[in-house]
Amino acid sequence: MPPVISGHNVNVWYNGLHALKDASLEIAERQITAFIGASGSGKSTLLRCLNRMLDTIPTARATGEIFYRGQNVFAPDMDVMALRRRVGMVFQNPTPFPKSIYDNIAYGLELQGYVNRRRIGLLRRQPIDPQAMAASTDRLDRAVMQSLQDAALWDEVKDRLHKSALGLSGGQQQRLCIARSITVQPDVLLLDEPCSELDPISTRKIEDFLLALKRDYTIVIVTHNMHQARRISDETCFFHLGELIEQGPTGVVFATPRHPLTRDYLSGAFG
Amino acid sequence: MVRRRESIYFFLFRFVAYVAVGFLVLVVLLLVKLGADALSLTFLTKPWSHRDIASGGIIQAIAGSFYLGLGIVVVGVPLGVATAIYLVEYSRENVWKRIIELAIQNLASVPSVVYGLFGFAVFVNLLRFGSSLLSAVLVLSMMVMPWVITAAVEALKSVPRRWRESSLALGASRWSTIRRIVLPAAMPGIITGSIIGLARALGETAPIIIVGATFYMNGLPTSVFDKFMTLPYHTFILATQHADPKAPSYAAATAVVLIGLTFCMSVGAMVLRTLYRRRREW
Repeated sequence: MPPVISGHNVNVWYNGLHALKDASLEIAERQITAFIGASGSGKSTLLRCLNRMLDTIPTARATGEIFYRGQNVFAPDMDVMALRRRVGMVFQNPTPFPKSIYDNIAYGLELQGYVNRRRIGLLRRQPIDPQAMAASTDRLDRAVMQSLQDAALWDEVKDRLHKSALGLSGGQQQRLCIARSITVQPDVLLLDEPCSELDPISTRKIEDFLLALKRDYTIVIVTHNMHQARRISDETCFFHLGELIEQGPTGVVFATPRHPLTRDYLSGAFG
Repeated sequence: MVRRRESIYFFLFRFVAYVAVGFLVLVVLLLVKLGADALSLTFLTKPWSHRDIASGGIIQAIAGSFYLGLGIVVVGVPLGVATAIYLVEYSRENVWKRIIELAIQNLASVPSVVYGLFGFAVFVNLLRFGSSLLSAVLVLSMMVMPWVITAAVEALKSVPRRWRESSLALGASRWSTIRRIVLPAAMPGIITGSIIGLARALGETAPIIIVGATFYMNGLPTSVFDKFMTLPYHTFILATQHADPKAPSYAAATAVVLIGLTFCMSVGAMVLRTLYRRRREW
């Protein structure tokens, strides 16, 4: 099977600072690929290249080639909005919008023109109770409910769908953000240290969620927690000071790292 | 000893704070006392009577100020918010942006009478809008723009970057992100800034005298090209130019109405702000 994403000699500079050096990698379909390495090793930078979120950093400049299913991601005529619908992203801090739980999930679909009959224009949506929601045939209602169920959030939030998402706990907020990303049915999901601010129990729930998502999605996760990489990933890429040092199956990289830097990092000598 | 010094300073600061409140109360009390005889329902609802000022009211001035305010909300506020959106959301950090920001800062400190002269030259004469409501709305809109822009820029900048990124990462365009995420979050700040600007503009006298305010007219303005009366100009004329012995009292009453109008606007801003906050929390 050809890789979903492949990168060749990707370089990134921030204001002249060479943050990513000649990285080349392949990301396999329906697998979890983990980017590990110390802070400032370039792993988040490469992740942001994959769906052109790097564009939001005005000082960044990238060279090289990244192909997503044959399309050149860096091409000037790339439809970036379409790319990001296919390659979604979840950030380090949970970032629910200051909207209701329902509206947070529905946002991505409403952007694509889904209309909900309980909402007229920009007015507030008419609330709906969980039973009616479960029985609803409305496209948006069904999609919102499906996403919340996938995230194992439905039982926790079904009675406050129309309350602010900012009232949820950190772990719930992050699961909401992942659910929000998969509602638009992307192909690839990029996660930038999604658990770094969460407690172990919330982290566990998110890892279970990601393992379940692996059936349908290709996942790339940046983590500075190497145990997390070992627990959930199939492939591991190790970064050090802007270089992609080593890529391989997680079991192999952890058991018999080829590069001395990888060995030192995994044994806790630095990082 | 330290305790003693502390309590002296505490007393001083409290005293200064009370003095500030005291001035406000004093001004309002003075005006109300002076204008009490003139304030009545007739005064608020009847047209101005030139011969016997006691038999008429100031409805034209109230309406004129109201139209001006409406005009600023329709013209000046959207232009200011649009400029702020351009500066914060679209413009890159370059020389042009610096120049625009510098121009806005300087415009904010231009005396209002200068705006009036500009409006007279450009709107009244060059564009032939004449001495009219339209010219005055345009002049005052120009004047409030720097204030609205400054307030809106601050409000937009305070919206967390991560909300914008999350929206973009879902495949949203920049405009959808602004319209659906950034603007609603910035709205309370924009409303507050706009209404403060509006209240200040409605108190202006000098620029609107130059471009179309009049002391007396028959009936209400019927088109944007009509002249108009306003509360601050009316107050000014009654206080300084009118021979009638009752005039000072009517000037004070007009001023009370003006203060009441701006007070209502501040309260309105507060209510809107609370409503927006509540919408966010549900």
